[in-house]
Amino acid sequence: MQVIQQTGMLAPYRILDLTNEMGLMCGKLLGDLGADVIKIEKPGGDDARRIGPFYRDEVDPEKSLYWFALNTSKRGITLDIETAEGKEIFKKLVKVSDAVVESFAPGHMDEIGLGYDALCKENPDIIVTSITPFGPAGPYKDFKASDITLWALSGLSFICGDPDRPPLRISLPQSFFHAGADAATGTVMALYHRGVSGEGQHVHVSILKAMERVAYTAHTLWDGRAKILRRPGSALKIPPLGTTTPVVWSCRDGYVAFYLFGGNMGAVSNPALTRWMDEEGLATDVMKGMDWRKFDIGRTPQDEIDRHIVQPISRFFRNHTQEELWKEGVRRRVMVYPIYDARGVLENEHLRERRFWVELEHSPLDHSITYPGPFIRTDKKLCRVRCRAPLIGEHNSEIYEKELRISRNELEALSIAGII
Amino acid sequence: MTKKILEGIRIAEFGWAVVGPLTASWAGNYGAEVIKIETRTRPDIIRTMTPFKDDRAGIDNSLFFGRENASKYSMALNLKHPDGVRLARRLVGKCDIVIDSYTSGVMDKYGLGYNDLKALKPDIIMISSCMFGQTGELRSMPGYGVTLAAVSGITYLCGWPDRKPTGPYGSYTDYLIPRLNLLGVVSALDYRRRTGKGLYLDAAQVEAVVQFVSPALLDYAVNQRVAERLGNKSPCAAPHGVYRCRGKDRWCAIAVFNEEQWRGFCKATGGPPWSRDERFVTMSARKRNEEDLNRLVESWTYERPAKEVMFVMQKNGVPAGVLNNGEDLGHDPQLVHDRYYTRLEHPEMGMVDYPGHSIEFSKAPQEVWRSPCLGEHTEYVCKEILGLSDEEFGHYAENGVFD
Repeated sequence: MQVIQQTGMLAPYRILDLTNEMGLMCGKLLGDLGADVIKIEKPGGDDARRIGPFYRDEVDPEKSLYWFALNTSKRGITLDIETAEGKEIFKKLVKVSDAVVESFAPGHMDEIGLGYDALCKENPDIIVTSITPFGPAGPYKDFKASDITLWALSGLSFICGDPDRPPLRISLPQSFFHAGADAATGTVMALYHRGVSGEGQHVHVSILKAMERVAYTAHTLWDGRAKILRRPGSALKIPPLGTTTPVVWSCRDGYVAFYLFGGNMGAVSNPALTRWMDEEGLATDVMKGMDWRKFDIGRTPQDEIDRHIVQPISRFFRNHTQEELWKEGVRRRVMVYPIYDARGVLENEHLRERRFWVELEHSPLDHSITYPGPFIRTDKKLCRVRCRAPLIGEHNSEIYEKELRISRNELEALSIAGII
Repeated sequence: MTKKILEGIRIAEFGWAVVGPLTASWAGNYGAEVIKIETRTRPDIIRTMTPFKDDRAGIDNSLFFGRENASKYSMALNLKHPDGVRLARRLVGKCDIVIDSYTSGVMDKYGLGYNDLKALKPDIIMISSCMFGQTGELRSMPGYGVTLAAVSGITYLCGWPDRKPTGPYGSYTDYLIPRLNLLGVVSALDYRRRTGKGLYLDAAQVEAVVQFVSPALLDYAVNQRVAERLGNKSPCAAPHGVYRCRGKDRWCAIAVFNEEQWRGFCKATGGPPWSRDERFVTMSARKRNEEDLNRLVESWTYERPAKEVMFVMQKNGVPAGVLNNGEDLGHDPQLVHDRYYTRLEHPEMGMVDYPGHSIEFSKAPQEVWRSPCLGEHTEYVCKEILGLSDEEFGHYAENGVFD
């Protein structure tokens, strides 16, 4: 069993994490910030342990890399909170905790007798944070949801994707992460408020609302201009002529992101890019003669911009590798960025130079694994990825016996009854 | 009513574009007094960005700016002017938190770096959020949301397997980072409450974004497998996608993760013969024949309005959701129920819908108030917070400190 160091911005707090896939990020972030986060799983382990990818592709609840990624810096116990004995033990835990984070369907905690009011009877200033797809009330409250349906309803899918294909999402589910981060913020704000006012409260995070924000100006454009924002693909279309220029470009060994801004933003990269291309004889006279500060994409006809600017840049990028463009781009302050795959992210020099990655020991696998480091830095490392995710019931003895003082005999009986 | 969560907390925002301003705006929704420092000499870039109300370009007319800058004051202050910096320092002396989203080194150049501000107010909390953080060779490299998504592994994962990446719309990361920045800030605030100590937060935006790619990063670290973009597919669900419905550009997302949901799906579609086809009887069979299945699903959805598809799926326990467009969002029954958009009158733009944040507190509701015009609260901040006399204020104004 691993011992977790108690340091960090949130060190004095104990948080009970009952979440499923929709809320795991919340406890992970709170744990990285130093809180004692106890992941409570049903006996046999959480369903999220069945989500891939898996360590060496071995499908096993102790080998889910998805689970690993979202449960760092937590301790773990098993407990069936649907049973009478399980509820009593949970209530004991609530008495010695500061907050509970859950992502059951709305009302479920009330139905099993563990709703906010019931928990207040155990601990009057407890904070409960609930993460739900649509919030605690309203017409869609009981709707079934998944990442793709939340992208849909939030307005985000509608503006993502190529115009000639269906709207898109990001292939790695994101909505639960956005909401999980907000739930962590809500929990800390409630802890702060309790510190000032002495009272706890119930915090609600709606995944739908979190995702609407990512949908950018979709609603704003309708509200202010009565226009519908539609998916532009990997290019941007600028009014009034509707001139379209790419955001994603091919290079010799992959892809790069570059946008040909006009105005002040254009003046950052475009003159330096023109000089760079000119050194290789690829800058056109139009590019060389351009006052980039006055360049207005939306008022340049499509065929002109394609012939004199976009096609030459495209040829230039195709002559170079991603790393060549990135390194030289940095030197020349041209904002041509690599489109990295997972390998590119892990191997990039900057994050290594910053000593971002952390190696966490997985003694049961006899292996250490590279993880993303803290999301924020302070000088005393008050936010850090402290340890790997817990095994199923890894801290049962530590928490039940030592901290709750439940006898070993009693624990065995609970285990046989399938409660722990 | 209980006080708002962050009541009594004052924040100075040295923000730019979306990340810094949105972090501060959310804090404002929960009661912090946020003062945005900006200048007419070099206005915040999103004040100059579309869409503009009624297409009238103007510094106080950008709906984009408005959306990301609710619930705060605006103080015009020219930091190129020595007295501008002097006033900024005086303001920080009366603040709890400083939010900086300029390029690394800019605040130091003004004499507003953490060490300068700490000397002024030892328990100040400061967050600096730039692309690559405050250390490393790339620290002052300019960039924006689109390029940050690219270098963080997001863009590569959004698109169709047979094409180059599409990437999510616009500056996706601008709506991810403020969540983690606000988390850092409120955690530091609670830390200060308990210990009396201020903190400096180095928030490298790239290090925030890769948190959202972590399962794919572990997959490479352990299995040397590069996660690829999958269109709308999911490795563990079928059907799973966005399906065309009746009408122009109308779609419904449907996701079937298990056999119970598949039975619900079959019931919802009225059990057409293909739903009993052995190519689709189990999840693994459906995954093998997913292209055929998707065509058949769409032949069914195409005949029906998206809403009807969503409701019949939901009635049968299947996750489904219509694709709302910008207009639909204003009528979405759930968002309307939640009063998610607050319609507020802005002096230049007239009535504008402002979105809220996703967090609601049972004892301290959030309150969204309209975005400020540039420099709208300069006089208020100078006289009420800094305690300048009328003469002093007039003197500074004449000398261009507020330009």
